[in-house]
Amino acid sequence: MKKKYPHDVVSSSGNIGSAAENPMLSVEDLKVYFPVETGFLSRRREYVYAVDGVSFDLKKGETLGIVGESGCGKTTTGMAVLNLEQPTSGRVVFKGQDITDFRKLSTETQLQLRKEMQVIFQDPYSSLNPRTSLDKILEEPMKVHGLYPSPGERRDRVAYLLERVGLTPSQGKRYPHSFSGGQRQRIGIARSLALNPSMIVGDEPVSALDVSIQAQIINLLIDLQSEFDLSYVLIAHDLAVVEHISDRIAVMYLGRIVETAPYDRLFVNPLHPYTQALMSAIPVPDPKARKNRIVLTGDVPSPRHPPSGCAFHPRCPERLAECSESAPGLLHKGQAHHVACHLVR
Amino acid sequence: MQPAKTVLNIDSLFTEFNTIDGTARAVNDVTFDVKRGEILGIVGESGSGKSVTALSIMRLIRPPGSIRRGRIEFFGRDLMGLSGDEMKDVRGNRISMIFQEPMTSLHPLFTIGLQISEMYIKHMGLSKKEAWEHAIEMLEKVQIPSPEKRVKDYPHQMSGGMRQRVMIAMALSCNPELLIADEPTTALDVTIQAQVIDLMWQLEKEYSTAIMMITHDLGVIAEIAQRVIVMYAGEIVEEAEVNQLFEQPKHPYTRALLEAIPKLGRRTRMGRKPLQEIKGIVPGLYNLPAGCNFYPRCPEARPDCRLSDISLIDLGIRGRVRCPYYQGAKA
Repeated sequence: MKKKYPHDVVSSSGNIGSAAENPMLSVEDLKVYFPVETGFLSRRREYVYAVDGVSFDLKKGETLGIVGESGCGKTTTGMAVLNLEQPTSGRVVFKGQDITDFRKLSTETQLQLRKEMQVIFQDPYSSLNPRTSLDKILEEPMKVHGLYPSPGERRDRVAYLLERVGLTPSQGKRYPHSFSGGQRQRIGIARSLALNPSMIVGDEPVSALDVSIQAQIINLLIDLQSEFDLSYVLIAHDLAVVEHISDRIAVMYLGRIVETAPYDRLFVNPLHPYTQALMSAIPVPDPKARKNRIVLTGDVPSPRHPPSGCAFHPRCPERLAECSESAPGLLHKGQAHHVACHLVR
Repeated sequence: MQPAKTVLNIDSLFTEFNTIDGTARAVNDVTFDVKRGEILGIVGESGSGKSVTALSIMRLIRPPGSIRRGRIEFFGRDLMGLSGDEMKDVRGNRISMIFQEPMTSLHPLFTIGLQISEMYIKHMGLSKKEAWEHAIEMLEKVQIPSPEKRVKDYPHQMSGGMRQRVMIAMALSCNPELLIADEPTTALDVTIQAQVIDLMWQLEKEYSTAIMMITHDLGVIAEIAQRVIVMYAGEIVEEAEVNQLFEQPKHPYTRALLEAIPKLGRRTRMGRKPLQEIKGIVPGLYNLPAGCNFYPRCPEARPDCRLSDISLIDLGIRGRVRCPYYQGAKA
């Protein structure tokens, strides 16, 4: 494939992250709205504002962690990047190519993109076809994309992948039901690697696993990244997991990024009140550390009726008068630390 | 402080599931007690038998499962000997339970007011009107805003956190002596989890209800429990006071588990080291390994660990541990 990196995609619009190099992935002002019909007679059309203006860059070999609570739009963001959801507006640029509207791309380009961008899903039980053996699960994408054309090559590749994710080639004859959750997640990872992708979106890849298995999978993901030269977008709700894996972290709340920073800056100096509350709410496995938590009142509002101004203001312990009036933009605080809050100037 | 009174005493409980694949020994010789006013944490991974233990106490095990052996004494009375009707009077009234999924444990077609009222009508014989008043009061106690309005809501009108509060309100409505909470915060977001944990703390202080907190999350255990039981493959492997468990874990499994969790801020402070893995997978309950159940995965296993079953060693004030070579054992 001809990989040309046109110069015009380098973020100029206050995009997050370093713009020094051409990013692998660049997301600009992404919006994904889902229409819902309401009303019995008067058929009003309303929208769920799932993702409402998200921008970020992902460099080659980098891991971006996206954290947030349920309904914050982190999964939708990931799916829109992969074009498994059609963006309402904004731009998704992958390796210099605008891929926002997938349907307008040629079939050949679409196939190429599918090969380069892979996904690992949360639930290892529902994301594998129960009637297909492991070998077939791993071989099928190779057949579709015409990689490793001879059956012998494919067999070798499958055996290699199985071994690499910690299974044995002899297990390839078996079906998903005979594997445990952790093993299935290894299969999911092997499948995502089958086509030698350059970017993998992991949607909560370890949150359905037991603690002892979770550690195995996290270590595996980190090892594979350097070996296969992968860029990761890692979607998760567990901040400790995200800190361990990510280079940079974006915190989302109600469809927007409220803060983003390199992992160490975020943990040493969280600036947004929501990030602070989120970090303080996490139960720490140390009874001596029982602390005065910032306990937020109320629930996450519905993305159908997001609050005016800053979406966090109804729950914010430090809100100002202006917070309900205008939404703060992301402000650069130096060292790639961006925050959207009226308190931070 | 009054001398701690034993609320619940479980003695050699065995619960099994007989299926076509064989017999799954889900709970295997489990013995422990719960004292008045304490929060006992039970921690374990999936399949460790923590939820089946809870369901056994409530006598909610359905075929093919059965309690094969053991005594479940509640204030000295063996629950195993009670008739179905007698047990109904205990359930919800004197022992109540909160489940993980607050959506499926509420009836979708009745208002929450009606569902809480039912507790008062059934167990305390109150009139509908009195029960309704109490329901509003209870909702206020679990900090639901404008309870007199929300009492008329149906479960689908509430968020997950609210529904779990309703479950707590319902569970505490008859002022039970024991509350069993099975992963009450697992389905909730962290900020909501923090609210629910805070609420449980406050209610425990106010009612001095004994709480059995079942969870897989060691963080939640550290926040809330006073005493902890660690379960693995149907057995208790360690029991200790909470500070001891986290500072000086004795069983190799407990230690491995504590090492395996990513801890917030550790990479930032100390750089990234690979997480300590526990190799292998949890053994199937149909064919447990001979000897110690943890033997195949144990980093400190010795050849004699698989020769015979390991018994739980009582260390008095330091708790119990199922490993002869536990950390701190005399060599």
